[in-house]
Amino acid sequence: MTPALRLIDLCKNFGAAAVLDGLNLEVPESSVFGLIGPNGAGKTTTIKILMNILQASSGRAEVLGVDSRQLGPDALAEIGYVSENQDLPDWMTVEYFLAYLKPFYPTWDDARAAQLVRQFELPRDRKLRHLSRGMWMKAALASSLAYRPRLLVMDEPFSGLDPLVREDLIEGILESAEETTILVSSHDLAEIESFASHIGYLDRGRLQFSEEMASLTSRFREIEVTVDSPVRLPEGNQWPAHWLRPEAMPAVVRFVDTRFDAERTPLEIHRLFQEVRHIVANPMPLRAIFVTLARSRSKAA
Amino acid sequence: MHQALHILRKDVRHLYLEILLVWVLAFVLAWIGGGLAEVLLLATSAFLIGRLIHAEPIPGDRQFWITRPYRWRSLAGAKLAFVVSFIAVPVCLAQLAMVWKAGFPLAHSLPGLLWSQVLLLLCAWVPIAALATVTSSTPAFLSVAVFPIAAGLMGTGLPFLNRPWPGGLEWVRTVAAGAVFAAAAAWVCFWQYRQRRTTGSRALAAGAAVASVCAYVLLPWPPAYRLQSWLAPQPSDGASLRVTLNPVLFQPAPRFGAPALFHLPLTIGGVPAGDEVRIDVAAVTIESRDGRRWKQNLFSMRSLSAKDGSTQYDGGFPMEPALLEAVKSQPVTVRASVYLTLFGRAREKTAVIGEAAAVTVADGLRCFRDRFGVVYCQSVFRWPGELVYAKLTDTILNPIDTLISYAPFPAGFGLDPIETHWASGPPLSAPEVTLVMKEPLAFVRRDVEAREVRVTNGFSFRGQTERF
Repeated sequence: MTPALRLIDLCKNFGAAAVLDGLNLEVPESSVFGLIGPNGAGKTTTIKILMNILQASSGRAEVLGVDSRQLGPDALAEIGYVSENQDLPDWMTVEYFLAYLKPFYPTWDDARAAQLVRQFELPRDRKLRHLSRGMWMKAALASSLAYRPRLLVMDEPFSGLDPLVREDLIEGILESAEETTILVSSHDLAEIESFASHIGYLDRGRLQFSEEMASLTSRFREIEVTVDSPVRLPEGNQWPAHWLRPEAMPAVVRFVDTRFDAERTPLEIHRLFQEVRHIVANPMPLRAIFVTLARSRSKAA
Repeated sequence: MHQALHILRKDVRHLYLEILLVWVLAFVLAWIGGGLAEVLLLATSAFLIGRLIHAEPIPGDRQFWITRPYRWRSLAGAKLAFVVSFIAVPVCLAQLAMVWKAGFPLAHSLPGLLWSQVLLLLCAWVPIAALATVTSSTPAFLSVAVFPIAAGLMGTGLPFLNRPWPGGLEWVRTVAAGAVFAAAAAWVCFWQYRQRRTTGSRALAAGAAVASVCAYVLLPWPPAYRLQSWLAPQPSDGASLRVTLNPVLFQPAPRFGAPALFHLPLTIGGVPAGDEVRIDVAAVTIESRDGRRWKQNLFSMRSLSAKDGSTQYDGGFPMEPALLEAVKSQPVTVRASVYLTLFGRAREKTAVIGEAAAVTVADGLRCFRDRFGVVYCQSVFRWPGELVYAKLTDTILNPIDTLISYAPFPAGFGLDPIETHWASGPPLSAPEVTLVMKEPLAFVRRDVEAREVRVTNGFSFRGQTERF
């Protein structure tokens, strides 16, 4: 199956600063792909290159099988783009904004548009400039979902929104998830975790991993090892590279295993520590995984 | 097409107040004429174009439309249709109303009206749009627009921008500069809508502005003269014209530090009866015996007297000290290339004119007089490219506007189509006025040379030659 999005050795420099450094990524069709990463990781730049807003310095980006530099009206009619950094024609009312966009999209669905307006409780006759931030984002999302796009790209859609608005947005997104591939970049990991099927972690312009959410959450575990006598952490090459953020207390060792395996991990622990009394492997929320990775990278750098 | 109309409808809905303001100012212009109304209409039109383009700004990465399925042809077409419909058309109607109000026949004015629209579109509306396409917002557009206006106002005072040039040929360098400017502006618009390459477009726009100024300042006038000769209908080749370089007169420096002047009296003979010659420019080279050369162009040569088909002219230029010494101490050779225009085929039209309203005296000229008897004549879109005199008495023939243009176009650049000039000289005493018009027949160059010119205590001269 052709991926909905494909990035091949994508590089982007702003002057001497390399924002994207050989980024390779595939977003499967019909997935909800969460692109996460710390500030300055290159998420927005990646999305702007995908949408042909920015030009890559080198490499290639494909969107629905089309080179992003060649994205024309026909391809854009199948793509929705919602970004907190977007300027909308704020003199338009919500109703006129949707009516204005309708002729641009052959697949525009009036019933869907009306349903989104009702669902998001959008004030039809209010100008976009007079909408609250949450309403503004809902209007932007409604205008991008009403034509049932094959691909929806969202750049930080939840930032600065209250929980109720986030819930509304996610509900709207999920209703389209069956027919639409969704790429969403966000810092809001709890929200991403609630609906993303895939996760990509971007750091310093490079993709650190990209995998299904289930696989990710199953291989990350916070391990707590209780031992009978005080221990010291092994030094040098003895400590496995995939065990991050180790902490040693008199009778307890804690770390994050990034390749947890219910059979293999206990064996490795027993090999490294003597007199192991108890091993606890706690599942980690996405936020904890993100913090672990970000701090480890930061420490390594 | 459908998408273009859709965008156009949206822009009309968005900018209806600005459109209304342009229509009101166009009405005011038609009602009271040029001046402040012209400036306001131009400024408001520029503002409206800026707002129109910035409804879908080109530079930047935040504007909503770049991720929507806009077709660039539709977008550019919608903007062009808007400019034509809501700026060019009201301006055109205002001009039409002014022409009608001034009493000129509309059919006669049609070529000028159409050409005026072409000029306004290419040299005003499109360049303003180009500036808007390389700016991201209306405030930025207005800020940037201040620079060309300020540069234009300051530039008029800069000597290097005011290089002397034959007045009748001024249109050649204006067209050259304007063509560079308009072509670059059109290309910037096309490029921005097609590719959105703002950095390159800005560089192109800046380069074109510089190139346009360079074209205006650096273009030599001899090729312009050849072009003018080539364009002339040539009902006469001016073969009979003879140019004689008279004894060269050296005028010593007067007191109070004023520069010494080098005078160059010329006689032009062989002018057919009833015709008239004007010297557009005389390119003078003075060569000393040791091979040193001084070159000077005379753009203003006075007609001193006319007798038996010969007219005497005189012009002068300040002498630099080295030339002064050379001329004083030894004979020099003086060469002059004289570029002149032969006017003829005189036509006379007489009409009774009053103070109340202008009356048609000749094709394209309507005249009236004020209570002091001064004769005023009006034309539409441009002053005729021919000599026009008002015959105030049997013996007095006074020119109406001596600065005529040989431009072959039916209109000049501007919003106000009515040009008014007056006849110098004594007031008109009779109720009727006769206009005498002479059209340019030929543009001729004559090269003359005078050797062994010695200038002492006034002038001295020995030997002269004339070449054709």
